[in-house]
Amino acid sequence: MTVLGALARMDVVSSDLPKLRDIEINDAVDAMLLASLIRHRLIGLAARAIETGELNVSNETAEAIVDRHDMDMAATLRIEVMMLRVAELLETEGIRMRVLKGSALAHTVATTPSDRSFRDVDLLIRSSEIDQTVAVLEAAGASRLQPELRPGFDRRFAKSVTMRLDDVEIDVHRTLAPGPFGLTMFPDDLFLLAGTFDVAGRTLPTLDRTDHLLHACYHAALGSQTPAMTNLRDIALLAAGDVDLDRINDSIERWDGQAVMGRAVELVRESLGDVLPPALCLYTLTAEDRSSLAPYLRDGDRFPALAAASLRALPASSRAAYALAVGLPIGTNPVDRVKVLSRRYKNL
Amino acid sequence: MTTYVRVPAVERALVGERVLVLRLDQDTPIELAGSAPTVWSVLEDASELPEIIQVVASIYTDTPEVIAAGVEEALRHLIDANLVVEQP
Repeated sequence: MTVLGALARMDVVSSDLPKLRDIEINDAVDAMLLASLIRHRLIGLAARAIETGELNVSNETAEAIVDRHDMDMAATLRIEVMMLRVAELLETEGIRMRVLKGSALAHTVATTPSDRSFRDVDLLIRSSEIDQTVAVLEAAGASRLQPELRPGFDRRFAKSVTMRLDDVEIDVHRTLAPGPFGLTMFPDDLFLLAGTFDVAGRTLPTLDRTDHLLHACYHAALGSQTPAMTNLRDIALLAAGDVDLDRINDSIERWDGQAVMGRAVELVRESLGDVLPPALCLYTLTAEDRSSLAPYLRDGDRFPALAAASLRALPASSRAAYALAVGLPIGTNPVDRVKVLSRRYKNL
Repeated sequence: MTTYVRVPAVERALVGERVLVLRLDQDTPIELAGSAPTVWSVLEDASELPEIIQVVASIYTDTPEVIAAGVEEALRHLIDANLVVEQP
């Protein structure tokens, strides 16, 4: 649907691409627009475009979009309050963190924070402080959605520990992606430089713009088969600003992430058109890259393929511990194990 | 002189010049409409009534009396909603 692409590249510098106000929205598109906007998390942009007259839809659809935006923003504010609460808890304990994605991008990259909604608090924590972070949050009343597979798994292998506090989900990330690409990167690199943003008079640490772009690419390329347009827009907006392309190249080489960048660039070009700097477009996918991405792009449960690929990516010294943890999580019998494993892939 | 101070809160702009505000110690956001969003925004940098009225007057073309009445009404609304604290 071209209207989604045009919405997602609003405010992104581009030349000859169709503008939103030039796209005709017929009845059929109008009728299914709300669902598509929700799926691609473009409600905020659509609400703004309705207000500025750039998006012309039926009154019924416009009202539905505005109502949905009101609801999204109310949820977003509750998540932001939780983010501030968690930040204070961690700061009190001397735990360093970086706010990832949602709120950080809403305040630093989006044209206006109301453009971008989010569904959880995402924090990056050093591997060495993951266990302490989980303990601090549990002491504050949070509960983890899944128990640790085996002692030490979170800090050695997990992508993240997902917790819930007062009905708000908190994702404590150790690394940026599940599976092998999350294991071959060096997440502590993301603590070398910092960006900041202000919420309610408080300054919070986040990634700097270049690292945000790397994360946005990892998230879009590895998160799902068909990423939400808002995630592709994040890449386009970040790349349109002042980013250090040499550092991106260095990080990608060090993290062995060429396939990730190739897929991210391909996804953005397919959905938004040629909005990326030429230097980024040098990342293209080879046959070998597509093979390494295959476990991420499977239909249905990708756990077994990601686990197998993770095992191959790990150094020999870590494989036994990893295999034991994912193959026989502590406290499970063989019957329960299958159920547990099927829910685990997110945290691998 | 009495000053008006915003409580710590997070906020988002909504369509139609409305603003949604959530105090850090509350669960339910409050929607501001009419002149309240403008006064809420001005309170970020101004805290005394004459100063607030002066800033609002620089934005709108209404008479000073109309603007003063509107600001005072908005302040009352913000105080009643526990979003602004009146300090003697």
